[in-house]
Amino acid sequence: MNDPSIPTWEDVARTHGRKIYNYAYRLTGNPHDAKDLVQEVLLRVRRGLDSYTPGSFDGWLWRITRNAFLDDVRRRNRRPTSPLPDDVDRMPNASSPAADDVLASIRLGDDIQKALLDLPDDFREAIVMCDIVGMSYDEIAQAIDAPIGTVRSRIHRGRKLLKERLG
Amino acid sequence: MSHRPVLLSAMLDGELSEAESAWVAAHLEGCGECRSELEDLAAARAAVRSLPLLDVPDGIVPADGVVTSLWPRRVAVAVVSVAAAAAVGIGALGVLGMASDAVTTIDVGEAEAILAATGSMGVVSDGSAAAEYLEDNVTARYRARQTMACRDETTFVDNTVDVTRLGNVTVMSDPLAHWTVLAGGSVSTGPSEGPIETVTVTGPAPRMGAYSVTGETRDEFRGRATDIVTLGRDGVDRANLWIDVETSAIVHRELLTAEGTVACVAELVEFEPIEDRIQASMPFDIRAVVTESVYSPVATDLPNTLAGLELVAAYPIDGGEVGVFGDGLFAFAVVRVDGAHPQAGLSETSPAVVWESAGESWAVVGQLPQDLLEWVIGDLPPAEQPSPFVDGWRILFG
Repeated sequence: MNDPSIPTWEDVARTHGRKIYNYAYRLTGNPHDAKDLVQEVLLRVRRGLDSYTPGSFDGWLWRITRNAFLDDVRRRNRRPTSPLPDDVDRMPNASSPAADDVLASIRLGDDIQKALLDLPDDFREAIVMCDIVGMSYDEIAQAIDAPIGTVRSRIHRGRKLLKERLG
Repeated sequence: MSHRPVLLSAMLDGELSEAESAWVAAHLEGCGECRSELEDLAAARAAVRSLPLLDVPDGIVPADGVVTSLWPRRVAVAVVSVAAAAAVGIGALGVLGMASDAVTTIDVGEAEAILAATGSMGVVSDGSAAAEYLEDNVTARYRARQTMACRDETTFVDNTVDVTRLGNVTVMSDPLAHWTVLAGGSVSTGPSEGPIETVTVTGPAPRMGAYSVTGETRDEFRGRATDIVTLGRDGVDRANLWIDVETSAIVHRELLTAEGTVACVAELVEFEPIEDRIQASMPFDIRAVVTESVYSPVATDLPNTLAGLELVAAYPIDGGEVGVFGDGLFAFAVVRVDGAHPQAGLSETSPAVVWESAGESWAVVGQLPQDLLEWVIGDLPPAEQPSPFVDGWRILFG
């Protein structure tokens, strides 16, 4: 763990927490699930860092994130979910200015977010990784364990569907 | 002229090779249809990219060294795991002693009666802040024993449960019905009431992500509220799971063929408090029994995660160790033996992939889909070869 090329857990949390949160939020449209996912990923990262060997850290991290998300989907599917928060009072910290900004931005992006949520899961995942997280096709292929041709195809087909839905 | 629309998106992302870029540029000059599609794709791409990057809510990411975790660090490193894993809910018992390096084991015979409950269970031993925290999260104090009855009346290819003996440890796994049992010492069978070696299940092993939840209802099962979840694979098979609302334990499950024939039924029986029983084997006071996910970093050289699947149990064997990994859909064992050949302890009925070197040998035991197997092996040390799966590993059985 003294290897300087291996980040500490706290480094990972600060550096990647926001990306993981945005990834989860855009996939689920739900801030509570997104928050849960970030916590779960950070927990798994902390468990796994001891055994992590220097290599593609991002690839490793996003594989963990994706697995955590899929596990979460399995669990969440046992309960009814709402795709978007319909009651802003239930949002955490709804009274703070930062939270107001967040709410405003969520409302602005509502249509786009809804269109994203309408996409098939595979397409949504690829688009979120590309356009929200900013991953390269190569990184996405590694994270979802699929050939790069699949990544190209999913992003392309996802964008076509998005355009149809957004008009 | 042929169109290659999939290249248009990749072009927007700067993901084309030079040759592809040249081809697309030339094609666009003469193709209004593709120019129009490119505009649409660019609009969709810009729309998603216009979404604001949200800040993480407070309390998730630590500020200046504050660790945010379900488990205080000094607790998390003090663990023992004597465990059985029951998949679709891997069961693992962690006994947490507060002395940071203390490792306490309990008799496996005791463990097998306790551990069949799905979901991780842990026991906290004293009145520290950790224990107080965990007491707030007590959700289960049950003893559980699992019984299994499977009928061989499906059209699927036979798939017999794996029984693997590794020194004094027996690993029994059934990737279809989702359970793995580790037994050792004086215990020679798993928690099944019947002769476990003769249990036969049918059907192909499930694939990661292939199941989807197709239905859910809530009902009573033996007087307790349960969620009944149906997992299905189109035209292949489906499973109904009865999940105890309070404990998250899978108390009953059935696997059905595409035709609706019952292929396998397993159920959890005999709920009763276990606290007294656990206490009887512990040299300290138990303060709480929890079902929060407990990570048990036992003293082991085995990796803590493999391909995103977590180590749920580790067990020493002569000259090595064995760990059970799982994610709820898959369970498999990884064996490490110092300077020996792991196949010496493997049964020929068990699919196994081994890696050998002068210093130590590794084996992956269990039925995993090929892609997951490659992934797992890719994660495993030691990778003295550039590509361990291709060059260093070989399939021994199966």
